Amino acid sequence: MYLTEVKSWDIVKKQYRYKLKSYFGVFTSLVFIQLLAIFFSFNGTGMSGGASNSISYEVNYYSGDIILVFMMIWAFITAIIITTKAYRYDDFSFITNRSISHFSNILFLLSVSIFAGISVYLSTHLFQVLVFYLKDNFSIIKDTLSVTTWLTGISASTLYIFLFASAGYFIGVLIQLHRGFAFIIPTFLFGGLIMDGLGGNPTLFMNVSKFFGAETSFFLFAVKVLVVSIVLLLSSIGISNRMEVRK
Amino acid sequence: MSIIVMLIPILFFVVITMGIGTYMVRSNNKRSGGLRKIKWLLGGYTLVLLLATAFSVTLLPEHVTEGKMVTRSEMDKVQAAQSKIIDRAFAGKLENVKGAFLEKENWSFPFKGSTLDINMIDKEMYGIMVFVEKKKINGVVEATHYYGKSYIDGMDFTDKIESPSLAVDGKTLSIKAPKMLEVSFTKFSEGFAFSQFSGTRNAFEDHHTSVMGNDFILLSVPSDLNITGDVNFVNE
Repeated sequence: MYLTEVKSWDIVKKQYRYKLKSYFGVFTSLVFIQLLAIFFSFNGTGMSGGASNSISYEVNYYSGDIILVFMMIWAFITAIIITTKAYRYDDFSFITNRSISHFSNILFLLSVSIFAGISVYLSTHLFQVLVFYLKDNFSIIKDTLSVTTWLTGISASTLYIFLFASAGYFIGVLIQLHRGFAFIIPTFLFGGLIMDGLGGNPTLFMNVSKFFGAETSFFLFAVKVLVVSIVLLLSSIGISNRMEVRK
Repeated sequence: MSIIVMLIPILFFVVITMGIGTYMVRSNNKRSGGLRKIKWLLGGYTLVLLLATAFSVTLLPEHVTEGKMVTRSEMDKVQAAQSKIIDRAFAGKLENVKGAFLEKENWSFPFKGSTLDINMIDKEMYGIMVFVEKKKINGVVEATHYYGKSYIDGMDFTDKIESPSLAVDGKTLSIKAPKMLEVSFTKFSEGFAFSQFSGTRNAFEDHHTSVMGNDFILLSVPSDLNITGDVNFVNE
């Protein structure tokens, strides 16, 4: 029996609002990383050329691929950062438990993923305008986007970013469980990539990438991303329940 | 070794992101008024992005070609159809040309002789297949230039390709190479998340697909005319 009954969802909402303000700095890093990605994109993502009897051609390709990839890595690292002690301790300013803290974190990651997903599309246009004015080649061809392609594209960008944020959150929680994971995970990750590629025919990285990247049905892609993200986030909650209070 | 070299930029990027991310969040917590600065920065950046997008979507298309793209599977079909027609033509049967090939130019030359020599000018630089069809016509040699549909990264450029120059002088038909069409352009795409479900591009395959169409000249000549030169007879 308490004087004031507190609903969990209300605390989640309060914590979420607090985190949006408190972690607002991540948006600054988003701006910096996006500008960095635009700068790197100026090199183009490829070129092709050829000739036949009466035609010779050269095409330079520019795309928003680098911007999206940078945002995925940014989300991964941001999710790791918000699992560190400094940020978790902030939650104890509220009446809370671990699940509430996790849910507000997940809501925060979802919000930044949506913002990042939309800004990937917008920054690709900023990049196009910059290329148009800074490069000499004025024969520019743009892909025409239907409304469906536009909607699925922004949603897919958001889902990719959220998937990486979920993976980062999971790894962040593992590192909080035991500091040793800070060395073990990168060793396995980069070591695995190097070992996989040593034979000249990397399969592990390609298979994982193809599981998501080669999916041509948006519905199935969304299901895959959401299922993997939910598994990662539930695992994070499960793992953190094994931690001591305020560890 | 190459994998390690490839990983260096990723590591560099990870360190930069972590550094900026950690600094930004911490500095935000410490400094009073930091939140306001970040709000201004984010608001300003969002405004720039929105203006750039509005400019790119509404004004930029005046300067760029909004290309009507052909998918890779459609290009593959056209290429297969062209190859099939050419293979059959070498076997002596030229038919169903329309669809896969575009009729670019027609010529008609009055001719009274009994032998016609086909002479390819700039033979080392330019080569074109010449098919000869004997018909019940008199005193005339007809020529048609066909060009196979040509796509550069999904864009149809067949219309822009020029035909060779043909001229009859005495008993010789000369074929001179056309002016080379030089195409150079920049292609923008939104990224793999946008093309993944539209079928225009597969991130795991070489998506820079172009089809350089075959071209040939079909000569229709009187049935009693002798032809010399590098030609193939069809529909005999």
